[in-house]
Amino acid sequence: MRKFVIQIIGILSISLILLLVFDFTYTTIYENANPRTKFQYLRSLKNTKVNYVFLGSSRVENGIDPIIIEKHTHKKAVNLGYQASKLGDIFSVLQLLKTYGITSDTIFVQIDYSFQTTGHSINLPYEMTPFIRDNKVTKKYFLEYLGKNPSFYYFPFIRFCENETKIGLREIFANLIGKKTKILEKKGFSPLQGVEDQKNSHRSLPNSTIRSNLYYEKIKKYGDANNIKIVFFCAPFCRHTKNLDYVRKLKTKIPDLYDFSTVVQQDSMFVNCFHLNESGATEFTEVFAKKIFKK
Amino acid sequence: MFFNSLSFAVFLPVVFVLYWFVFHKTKSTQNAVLIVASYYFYSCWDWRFLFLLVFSTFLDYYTGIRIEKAKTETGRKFWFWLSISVNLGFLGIFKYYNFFADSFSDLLNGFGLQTSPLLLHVVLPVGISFYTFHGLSYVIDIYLKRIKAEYNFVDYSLFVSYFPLLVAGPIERATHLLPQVKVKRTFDFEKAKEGVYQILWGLVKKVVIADTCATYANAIFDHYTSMNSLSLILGAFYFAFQIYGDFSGYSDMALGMSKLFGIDLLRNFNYPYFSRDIAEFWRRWHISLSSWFRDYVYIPLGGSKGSKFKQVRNVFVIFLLSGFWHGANWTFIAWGFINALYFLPLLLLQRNRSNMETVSLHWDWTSVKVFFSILSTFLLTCLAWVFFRAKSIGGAFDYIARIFTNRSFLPQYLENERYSYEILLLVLLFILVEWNARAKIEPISGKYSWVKVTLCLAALLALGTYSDYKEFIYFQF
Repeated sequence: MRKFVIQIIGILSISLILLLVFDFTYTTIYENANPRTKFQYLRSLKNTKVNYVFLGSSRVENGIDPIIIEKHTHKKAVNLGYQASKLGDIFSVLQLLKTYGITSDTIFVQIDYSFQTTGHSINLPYEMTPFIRDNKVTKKYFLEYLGKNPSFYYFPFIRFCENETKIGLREIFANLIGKKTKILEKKGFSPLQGVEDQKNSHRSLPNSTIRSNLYYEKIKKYGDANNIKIVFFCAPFCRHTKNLDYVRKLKTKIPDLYDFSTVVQQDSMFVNCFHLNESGATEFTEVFAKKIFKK
Repeated sequence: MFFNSLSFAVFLPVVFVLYWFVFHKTKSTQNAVLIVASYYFYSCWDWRFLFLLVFSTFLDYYTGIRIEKAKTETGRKFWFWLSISVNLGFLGIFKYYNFFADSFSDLLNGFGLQTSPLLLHVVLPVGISFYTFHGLSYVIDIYLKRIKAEYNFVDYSLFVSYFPLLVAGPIERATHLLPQVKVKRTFDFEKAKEGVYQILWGLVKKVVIADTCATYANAIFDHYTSMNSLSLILGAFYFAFQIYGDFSGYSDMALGMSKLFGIDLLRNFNYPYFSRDIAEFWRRWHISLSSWFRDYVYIPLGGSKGSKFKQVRNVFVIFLLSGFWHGANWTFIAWGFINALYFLPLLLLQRNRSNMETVSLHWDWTSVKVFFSILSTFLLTCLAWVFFRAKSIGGAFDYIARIFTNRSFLPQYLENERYSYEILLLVLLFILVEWNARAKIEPISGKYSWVKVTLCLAALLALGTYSDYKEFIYFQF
């Protein structure tokens, strides 16, 4: 039995060593590779100044072209919108900007029905996963906001196993050989193509707004406390969207909200009622730039 | 509680410690630990079906004794048929009732009589096909006076409910397992070491090979109408390795963990994809089920003796039964039928007992022939797997037809955000490892075993599929 116990201890030791080695190797590769994800891109901006930062959901990611903003302002802009981002995700990214030493003149936060939705972004968690031990904000995001088991943070390599389809060996290999993605080409803007039938769309905004949103309050307070100028805006919806009046109701909760919900009218500018296509994004960004920067 | 789950990783060491360090004094205490652990293990699936398991155990235990003690042939027959009827009755109700009701209703509808079947809304108790077959073999063996009835209920219960084999086999025989349960086990380091290696290799097969192949096979089979010839061929290929890795991986883990308790279980797989003909394949695939049908159905029917008609009939009977055992669906019956068709030429040419020795290849013409025999057997098997995996027989024919009619062999992008060919290298590496180990139980033991253990652990960590968890396929049977 003694020999057997020694053997089991040996196997467990090898496992632990492998876990530590893999954890270190994967993390190091992700930290030092050319950015392939938006989060890597965000980290690559460490200790730089970006004049205009756009935060929000896919309605920012697919709807704001920073290159157009730069043309209008001759200043640096970046789109840090994440698919299905909620205000909690946005709050974390906002804190990370400061943590990574990324300074800015204005941070634009897109806000709409996200005011009353809970949950989290689709991409942000797994893009942030390799960097979970970067700082307190990333740790808090996983353990408190996402409610992950502490083993996800403390146990080596388990976070890569849990997300192996997204950040596993295949992605490590792509990072190693420097395989490029389109993330950097348009400064975080990811245009959509095509036009769907919007007349028969069942897309609907909520009937009413909730009383308050914890993360909206946190974002505001954080901006005030850190002297960061935060501007809230609502991106366009197609004219067939039901309950468009919701944005007016939202404005009563966020008085300084810039309402762009109806600035794009043509169906041909939308992929679906909530998302602009590339032409729509160009038109919206132009309208946005003219209104915000040329007052 | 799956073998590859975290809860099982806690359960197994606890049982091991209790078994070898706390209750190791007598055979009775050892068996008691195992039976309690087994019932706990089973109740983790659904505690309500524990009653069914205990009832089934008691039924066979009691009828076994009554058969042995019966003074008249009528009495023997009565208890024998009672046991058979109740066992098959449970299996019929839980597993096959809805299938028969549905098929009968379809048949009547085909004749223009509009009927809607009265279906039962019951969940299939996990492992019912396996423990029913344990009990059946025991009762049949007593009836045929091959073995004596077991009078110790705990020992008998352990034979039926022993947790490593409870939910997905291998289907044990009383002649093999009961004698081991009747004696106190002493710890054997070599056996336990082999057990650990087998568990580790089983995990690699399940987590690295089967679950990874599953994401590709599912992406192809579930959208086969939009797939080209190359993807469809690869889909069948991946499913072949999914089901092999899944089931043989499970069996390896079951055999391995049983060795930790000093008990040997029947070998269930013996590198079936290196078979040179379909008869050899069936001697190497799910061996405990094939040999069960051979001993309790095929041979009693006359086996390969008697007229050609009887021989052919017997072959079809066991293959159709084997298909039907897997599940209440026409696709499984079709799979069994196809395998019977494959087997038939070998039977008629009396070549079903050739290729008994372990295959080997050398640099000569005979080996070229052997290589092509292996390849053709594997291709035939893959073709049959399409029926096993498809949702309907029509779907399976459509899948196969598209392989030949599409004629596009370009790599395709799949639902799982991968190209259809991407996992090929991993599967080919797995084939090479298995080929080199084909004379052994698992590839880890022998020279450089620590290096191989390290490689297996590394493969589990770096190549395993964890985010898209898949249940063991055979749990549903």
